[in-house]
Amino acid sequence: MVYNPGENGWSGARDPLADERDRSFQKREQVQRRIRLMSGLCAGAFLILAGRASFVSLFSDKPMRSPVEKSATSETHRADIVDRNGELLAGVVTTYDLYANVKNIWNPDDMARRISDVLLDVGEERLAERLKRARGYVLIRRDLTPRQKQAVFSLGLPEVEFVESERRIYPRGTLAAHVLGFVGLENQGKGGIERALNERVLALGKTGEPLRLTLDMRVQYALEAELSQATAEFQAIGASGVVMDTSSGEVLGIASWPTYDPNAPGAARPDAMRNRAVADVYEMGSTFKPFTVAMGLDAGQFTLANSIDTSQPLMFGGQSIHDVHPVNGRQSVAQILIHSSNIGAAQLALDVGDQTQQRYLRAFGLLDPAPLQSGDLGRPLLPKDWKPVTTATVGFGHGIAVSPLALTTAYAALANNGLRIAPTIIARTPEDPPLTYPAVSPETARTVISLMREVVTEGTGRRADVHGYEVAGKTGSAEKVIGGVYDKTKLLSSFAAVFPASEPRYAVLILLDEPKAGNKDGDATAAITAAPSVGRLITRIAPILGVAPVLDAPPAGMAIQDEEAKRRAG
Amino acid sequence: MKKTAAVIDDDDEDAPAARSPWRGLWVSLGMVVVVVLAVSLYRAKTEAQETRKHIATLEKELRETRRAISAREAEIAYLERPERLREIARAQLNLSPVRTGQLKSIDDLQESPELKLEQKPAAQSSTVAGAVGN
Repeated sequence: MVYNPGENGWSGARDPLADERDRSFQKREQVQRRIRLMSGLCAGAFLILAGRASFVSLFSDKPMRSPVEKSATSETHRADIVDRNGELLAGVVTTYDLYANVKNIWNPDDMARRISDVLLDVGEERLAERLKRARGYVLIRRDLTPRQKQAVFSLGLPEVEFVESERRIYPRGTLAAHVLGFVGLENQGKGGIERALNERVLALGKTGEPLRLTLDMRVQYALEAELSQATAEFQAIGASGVVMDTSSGEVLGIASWPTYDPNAPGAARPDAMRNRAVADVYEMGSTFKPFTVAMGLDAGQFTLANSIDTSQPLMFGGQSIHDVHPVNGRQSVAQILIHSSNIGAAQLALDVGDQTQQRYLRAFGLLDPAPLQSGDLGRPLLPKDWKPVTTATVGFGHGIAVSPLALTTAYAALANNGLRIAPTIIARTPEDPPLTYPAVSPETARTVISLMREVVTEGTGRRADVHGYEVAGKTGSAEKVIGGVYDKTKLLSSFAAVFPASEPRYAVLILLDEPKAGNKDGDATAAITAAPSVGRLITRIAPILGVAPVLDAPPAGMAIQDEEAKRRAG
Repeated sequence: MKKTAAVIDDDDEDAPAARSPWRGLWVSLGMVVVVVLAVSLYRAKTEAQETRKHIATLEKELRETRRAISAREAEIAYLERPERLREIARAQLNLSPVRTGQLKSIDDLQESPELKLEQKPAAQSSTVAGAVGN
């Protein structure tokens, strides 16, 4: 806007009215400027607000996070562990820890009474005492089941709060406890598969897939029940057992006694938590003899036609090797095995020689720890110097200590046409074929199996000869070394078997640590203690495993078993 | 004053006359498009947020159902403990583990009297059946 004071001759003397107009105009302009400024400021502020609002609603991509989502991401879920048939061995359940917010408590006595009415294991007086003394939050009880939570919730107490947590459970109690292991407070595996495959169990937990073992829950139960019965009957201080599929190396059952409940590992004796079948090594005794025979036959050092004079003890310097039940005269290779002659086996081992013996023992996997995914593998104890006396004693299973699993794997190799397969407890996939090691030729393996069948029909293993399942096996009764010397009163009695002998499919081992006398003669050897247990076990598991019985003739051991059954019943 | 005002008005009228006649239309059209886009984007985002909430609810339900299933599976496993089933089978059903003599092959079954019945006259078969029943 333009104002020219010089127009119409006003430019001369100052008109007072013009001055007045001037001032009024300036004032108006000033007010207008202020209004514009304020409008500008307001508009600017609104623009900023609108811009920010648009930006937030249109371009901000931050997702809404609900508390549920937060809890989902913080979960560390362990995968279920199932047996070969999908039966649950270890699972996860949601539990609730019950807390009380002390600030909100009106009447601690009343609250304690009402809670102890619902949760029977919560002591009323003790809880009331704690509620009165505490500040902040009080943990009333851990691991409420959903049902218990609902019961407490229904009390309508405003002061209680629930915190969700996940708990590992082993619904079948002590079943397969040593294989499964247990979980500590930080959700970390503390034993067995839970520790050895901790990462895998956690990784599978994210996918929802279970970890499938090769165990068969029914076989495992039968094995544990037999171990428990045998230890009770013969008052053994420990026991272990293995059942293995000989064609795949899959472990169907593996047990150790005494056992523990992985749901409450704190209550277990440390001694009970060790998996004796895997971690412990023992001088196995006569169960080694079939390997001595196998290596001699396979290497061509002797044939079944050879015989050995076993009437005199073998002397090595001051040491002598003698037989428990001496046989006068000569014994054939088969008889040495059937009568379990130490002198004969030692002589055969000497014929084989130390180099060949070690080569075959390594091929059978007896000089290395038997691998298993549950960990804690027992390293075999081997002789420092392999002198002739060592070769002789190793020939009948002394001077060398191996784990029960290693021995079962070696028996499985004999049953599998001489091909040893690394044992496994995790189901194998086609992409992960088993490691195999040829130990002896198929012919040798079949010959030794038939000799072991004779041990059961005619020799020391008669009490394992159950009707229909053609058990082939070998007893082993080793004196334990106590303070550097062999103690005749403390035995390690074992029976290793394969069945059915005509077409072996399964290897079984039961080992009893220090069984007491099994009959009135004071005999605690494997023939009396471990062999019948293996027989009963095979009768129980063979129908489960689909092994059809061969029912031609009653077995040689039937009479003994009938007597035993009568004695038990009586 | 009036004259001055007139001058001022003239000035104002001159300015729009210099602009393109379509400009206002384009600007209005552009504004409409911007508003429509903004509203659509806003709606899309709101819907996405709603969907996200819905997914979260479903996931929560899924987790709770999975938990319930886990709890049930654990309960089933607990109730199916072999030692418990053994006791029940003995007490309620009078069952015991299979004895070897109780197992027969298919060939044995074909020789059993029950299957031979079909090949015999009806009158005789009832006798045989009676004998089997005894």
